[in-house]
Amino acid sequence: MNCHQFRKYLFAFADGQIDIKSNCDLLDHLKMCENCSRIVDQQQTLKALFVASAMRSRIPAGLEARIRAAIEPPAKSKKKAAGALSVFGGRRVLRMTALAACVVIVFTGLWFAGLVGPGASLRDGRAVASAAYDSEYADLKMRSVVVQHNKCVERCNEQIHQLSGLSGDRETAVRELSERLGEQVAIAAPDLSGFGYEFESAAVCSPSRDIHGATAHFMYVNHAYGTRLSFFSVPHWIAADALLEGKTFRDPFAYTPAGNCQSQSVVAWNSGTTTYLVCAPINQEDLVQMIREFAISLPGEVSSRH
Amino acid sequence: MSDKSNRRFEQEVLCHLDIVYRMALKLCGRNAEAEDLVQETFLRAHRSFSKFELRDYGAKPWLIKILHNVFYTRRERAARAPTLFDDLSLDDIAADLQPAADWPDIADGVDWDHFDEELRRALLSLSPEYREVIVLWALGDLSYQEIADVMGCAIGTVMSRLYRARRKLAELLSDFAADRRLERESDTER
Repeated sequence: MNCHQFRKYLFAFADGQIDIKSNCDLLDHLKMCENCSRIVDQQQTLKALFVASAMRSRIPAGLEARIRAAIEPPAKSKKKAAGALSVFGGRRVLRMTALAACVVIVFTGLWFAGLVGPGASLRDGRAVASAAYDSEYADLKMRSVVVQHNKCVERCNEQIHQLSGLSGDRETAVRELSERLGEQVAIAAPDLSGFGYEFESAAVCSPSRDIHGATAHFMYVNHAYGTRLSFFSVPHWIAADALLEGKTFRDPFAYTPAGNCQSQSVVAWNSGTTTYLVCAPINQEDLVQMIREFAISLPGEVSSRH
Repeated sequence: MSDKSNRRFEQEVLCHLDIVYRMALKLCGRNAEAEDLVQETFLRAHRSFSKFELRDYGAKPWLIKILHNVFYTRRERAARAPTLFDDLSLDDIAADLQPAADWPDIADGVDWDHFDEELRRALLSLSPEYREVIVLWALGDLSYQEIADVMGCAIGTVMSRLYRARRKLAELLSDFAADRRLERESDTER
């Protein structure tokens, strides 16, 4: 590949819009060409400076409160209620009051009959609604991990998952990837051979668009069952904090997204500035057990760095 | 909208307030206008939230699309208005690309106040289409296809607009770095 050919794809390459195979061809040219390498560096600096400049601006005080005030329903319903009182006459108000009184009497009757009570309060109803929402939120976040895992399994089948220039040995690959990605992420890739999973390949693949920064992805394969396991080390996944807050490798977050025909589970936890994600077609309790065992054997790798 | 739906809105949509505000600020260059843009964006998003379907990558691209619509509606411009010079081919770009002679070294320290002001001016000198594409690219963390979906144009148009916008900003950075080099040289001479 010459400079002209490389430069046609230079921006797409610098922006991470190129598939892994083409990426490798472009990387080969980049290693040899100082000029093209300078242009790529300059483009990445440009983006970094633009982002840094934008991050310096703070959200004006009160903007969030103004938006919340504009969208919250209580204010709207009070306004409606006030409107209703002014539009309809006193007779209508009396009818509504009588109706409300009937509801109170019926409810009181049911209370004493034991059909409703503390065990069946409205608060419990809300808790059910909240749990339903939480699972929807967890589905959204964790499904993206499963989607990425499946994409990378396909790449492994085509033997294009391994990042060019990385060693095929797990421990060396960890060291080489750590050097390439810097200190933003504490990269880990445990030895899972005791669970039947052998290290297969390593690449830089992000499981979600709302994870900012470089991500290390290690793939393992279980030859006996023909299944694969993904281990991601990603910069702190802030967008999933609602799920992962307080979750450590001793008590990780475990989830099996709905509509997942291969029953792939995701186990996740935070450690310092890094979020670790594991995805495999394994029952989530068993996967948690695996995580606990290998994470405990990895204190020097995972927890002591922070 | 129900409590549950409002809570979902807060967790899935309102959490993107910071990035939407920063994009709006870079798009229009003025705090007050950016605040208005953001408020209108979130109110529109709230009104149509019931029609929004959860997707793998969350609400951000959807929210950015609304910001795009509000931005263009306010400028009374058609979002799909064709612009000249959007027909650059990859060959044209490849032939035109050269590394800049002067380039800022981040490790060397940046005078941020000066840089922010220069960047604001450079952005405002770009036409809205170019300004928007660079904001979506740098801050939106969107793929070229997603940027094309937001802007309602072809992916090739995104790439050529992005190229022109980047070239303009690269000129700014190169001038900025050259000024700094001259300042350092004159300091050394003294």
